[in-house]
Amino acid sequence: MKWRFALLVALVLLLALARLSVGPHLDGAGAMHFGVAMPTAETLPFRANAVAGAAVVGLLLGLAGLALQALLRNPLASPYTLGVSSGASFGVACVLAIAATTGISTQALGGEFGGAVFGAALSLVLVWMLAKRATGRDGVALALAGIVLGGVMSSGAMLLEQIVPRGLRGDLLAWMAGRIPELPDPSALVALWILGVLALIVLWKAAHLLDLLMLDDDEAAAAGVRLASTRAGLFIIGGLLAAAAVSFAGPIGFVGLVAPHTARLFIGHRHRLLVPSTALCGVIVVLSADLLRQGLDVGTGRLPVGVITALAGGPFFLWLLSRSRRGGSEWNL
Amino acid sequence: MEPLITFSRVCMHFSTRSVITNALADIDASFARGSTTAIVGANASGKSTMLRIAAGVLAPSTGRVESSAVHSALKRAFVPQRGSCAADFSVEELVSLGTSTRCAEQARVECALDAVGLASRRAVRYHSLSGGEQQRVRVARAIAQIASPNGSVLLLDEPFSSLDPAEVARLVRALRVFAQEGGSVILSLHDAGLAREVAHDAIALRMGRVIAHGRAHEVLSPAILSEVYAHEMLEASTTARWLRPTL
Amino acid sequence: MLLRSFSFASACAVFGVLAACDRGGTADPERPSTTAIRIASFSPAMSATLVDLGCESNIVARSPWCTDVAKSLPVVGDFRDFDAERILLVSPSHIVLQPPLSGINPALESFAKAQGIALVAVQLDRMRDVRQFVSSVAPLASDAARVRARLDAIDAIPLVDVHAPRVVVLVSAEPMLAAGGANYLTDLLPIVHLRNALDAEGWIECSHEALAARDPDLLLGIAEREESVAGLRRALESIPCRASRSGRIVVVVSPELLRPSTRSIDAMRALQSAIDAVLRTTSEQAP
Repeated sequence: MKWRFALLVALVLLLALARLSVGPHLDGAGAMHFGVAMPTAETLPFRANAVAGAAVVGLLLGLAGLALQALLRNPLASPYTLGVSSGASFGVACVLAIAATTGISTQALGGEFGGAVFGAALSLVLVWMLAKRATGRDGVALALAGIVLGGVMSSGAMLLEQIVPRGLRGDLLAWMAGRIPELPDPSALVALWILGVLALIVLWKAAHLLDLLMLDDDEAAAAGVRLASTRAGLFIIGGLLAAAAVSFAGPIGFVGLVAPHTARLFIGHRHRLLVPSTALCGVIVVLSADLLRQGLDVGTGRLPVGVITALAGGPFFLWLLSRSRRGGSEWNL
Repeated sequence: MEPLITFSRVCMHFSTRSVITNALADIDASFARGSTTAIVGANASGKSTMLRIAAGVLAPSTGRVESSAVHSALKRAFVPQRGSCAADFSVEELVSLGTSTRCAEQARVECALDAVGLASRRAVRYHSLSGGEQQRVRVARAIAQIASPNGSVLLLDEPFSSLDPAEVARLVRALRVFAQEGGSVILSLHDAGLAREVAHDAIALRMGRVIAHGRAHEVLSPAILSEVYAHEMLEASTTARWLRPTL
Repeated sequence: MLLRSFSFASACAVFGVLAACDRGGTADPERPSTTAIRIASFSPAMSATLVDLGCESNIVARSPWCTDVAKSLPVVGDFRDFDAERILLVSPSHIVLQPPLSGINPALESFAKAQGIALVAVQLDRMRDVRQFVSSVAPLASDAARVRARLDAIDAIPLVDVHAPRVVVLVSAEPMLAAGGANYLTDLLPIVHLRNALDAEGWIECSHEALAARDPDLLLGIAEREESVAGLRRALESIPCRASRSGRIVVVVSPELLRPSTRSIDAMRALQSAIDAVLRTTSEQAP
């Protein structure tokens, strides 16, 4: 198990190095190619930022997925099951719509980042309240509330698209594709890293609770898990991480689903190793996607990283699923 | 023998919007150190509710449960009747859930695996085990959770329901050892014959009330048993609970 | 199977990367002279205008949608996103773009400032925006006479004649997207002696009935490609109004009209004969 974990760490380092040392270059005829191009003093900051941004988004999404899968006891839960991404797009649409109709600049309204934070937080609060009103805050109630609210929020975003003159379609669609900013706000990047590392430590420290949470509610409670507070904690951590990632890079799909499952496949189900491995797998997924998109140019420039993760993540997840069917259990991934 | 858990005038009702279901009414009972107690009763007579209250996962509506063990996960463990596991742990991983990697705790895990006869299957995935094996793994996990049997309580809800006779015999031996080392075993059973084999003491429940409490061979007499189960036959067509509209 | 194809795909990707390394890892590309005017265009409409102004050789990078410049030019950004490293590589002196509603990307602004790249950001909604863009890039064009001519052409666009026939301009059939009032197409319509039957702002997604209720005198479809013509014609024919019943429908392929540029004026003028023909035949048919 230890060497497998070391392998994951090595893979992260390798990918980071690869991302740092590849880039575009011009040939004699002035055509642009992609390949090994050592960073210069000029290009290094961009590449380093891309590595730091991609890594932190992967870390956040992977851990958010793991936390929510534990909370909802559902292997198909993703960071977006609680409606975070729809909420964030609604928030972004709100900011764009308000800016377009009142003439206030989007920056004055907190920018798209502010809108996404607001929308994601709003959806989390609403899901928490809705689930309480339904059947208490068990996994099913939370997931149902999240899915329903996600649908409503998406429609809200679409409604805003419709009623705003000249349309926000291009803006909102581009936001929803998901991108790793190469020139991020440094303070946002630092805040995200702090959040991600804190969450990693908290989840790792709570690994035995997460393990016990896999058991029946009664069994877990008798084994010393305070169900209500543990669930609240997981909800807050998972929601916060997903909201932070979405606000920073847009709704990048499949990472939160693929990373925990890959880690389980590779390292097993005990959370003591699973938590850090999931974080590493998340980093690996987003870093590879970012690396891949540098080289993939179908004549339209770089593809958004969210497109790559969804394109590669979908088939990969289906493959995981087919393995699990053979294993005879939904969790045997 | 001093009691490890005492129920005094414990009532339990579950309320939904329109009805209150009384699951337990005025339960007085105590469970002594070194004893094995079987709770017998028909379906929906309140056996599981009583175990859940003893395990501390359910707070009684009224009445008191006094226990030296109930507040510490190291001193009481509970195995529900139909448990599920959301992760595909190996047998050894599942049994060691919640324990640390310290030697003493690892030794407990080994003992628990031996006690249920699954030491040779430690690397097998939980979800590929048979129903009986899964049940034994869960009992082993509960045994491993308890630091020392002395002064501890082991609560098992229908632990033999999917075991074959040889497995039942092995598990009964393990439970006897637990009780002999100063622990208390409380288990719910619907099979009165098995209860007579396993338990020193017995509690007969009918519709959430204790109708007999004492030595197993006395409580599990034909007269009392017919009273326990006759009700089920009499009222087979109705639900075995009282419905009362909310005030 | 899936796994195999997946690993095949990743092997291909790795091979592709290696092949690229072989091809291009040899020499550090020469930095071009920074005194020359090198434009990175993030907007297809602006590319069209720049080409029209004779600046084609100055355009060194494009957006994914710029069809008026060589396809071989590297794609370095669009109205929202940009690729800093590629921009550095082509070292432009100017970036021209139509910023999104939310304003210019602050990261792009600070990047351009740090790199000493001039940003020309104009939102092209009306012909007067095109004029403003032409004036702001005028110093970049070598042919001053041509710039003057284009500015004059924009200034010469006639004002709206309130008695002119009213037209609905459809640019997409699915969804039905029509040019609203505050739109460069509305500005251009007086060239062919028409006026817009719609007055709401921007591009309007509307139903057949809503368009029919305007009772336009003429239905005009503008397609990007030949393949879209049939669909546009079907959509226009299905609008239940007098114009469609009497066949007053014109559908043209004119990508120049789908981007607000200096080329749009001539493209609109070119429609005159087709429009006249339809209006003439249908008025002859009328009792």
